[in-house]
Amino acid sequence: MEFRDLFNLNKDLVFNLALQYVQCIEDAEEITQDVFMSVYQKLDSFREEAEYTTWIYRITINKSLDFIKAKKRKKRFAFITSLFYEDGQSIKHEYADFNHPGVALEQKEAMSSLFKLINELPENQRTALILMKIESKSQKEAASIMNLSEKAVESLLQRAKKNLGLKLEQAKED
Amino acid sequence: MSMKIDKKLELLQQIQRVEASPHLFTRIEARIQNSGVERISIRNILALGMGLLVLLLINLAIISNNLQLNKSKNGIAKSYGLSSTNTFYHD
Repeated sequence: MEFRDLFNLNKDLVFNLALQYVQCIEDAEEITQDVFMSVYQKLDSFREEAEYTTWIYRITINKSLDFIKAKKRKKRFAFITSLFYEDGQSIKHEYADFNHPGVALEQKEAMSSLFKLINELPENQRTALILMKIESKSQKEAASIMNLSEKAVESLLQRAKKNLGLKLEQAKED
Repeated sequence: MSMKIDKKLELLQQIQRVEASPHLFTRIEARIQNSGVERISIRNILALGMGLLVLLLINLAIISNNLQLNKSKNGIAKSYGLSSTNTFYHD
């Protein structure tokens, strides 16, 4: 399949999946570009053991998680460098607020709170939750994408729900 | 608690799908050009590998041939009671 065709067929899939991880248009666009750069480089070596879509899902998930880790590192670095600023001003590193274009305005606050908790989940639990509860993938499809058994995915989802429940209780107490 | 969480998670189903910007492809193309990334085809890698293998085999053949030549030279010289080298004295 030609690269341009692959892009046109999958750009929305990639962009929307990235949005579920970062909830910000600019970040999701950057991740989308990273994904298709990777697709371009690896297209010849793609062995078609899985479908193109599954392959692209996997790349998107990995690139999204890498992006989030890199952003956390920058935040830590920014904090450390701000300690050394002579005039007492801290270096302002701007990080986007919740800016998910797929969320209606009236739901923004509730959704922002929910995503804050989802973002704190371990990577695998977060991915299982996103694939099954937002992307509406079946357990079988999610297992194929994550390269896990269906039981493992089910277990991840249950643990994700349990952790979210605990975090919600904690948030109420605070 | 499980039902409470399930209710909360129902909110996620209301997230709308969004269309990616049409300009993304242009940006991706620019990145590809700027990075100088070439798609390394498997065929090229295999061809290079085969070429190196052939060179290696030729070298091994030459070395093996030279060793055999030296062996036969020494054998002939010995049968006539001669030395295979040009030295007339021993150290």
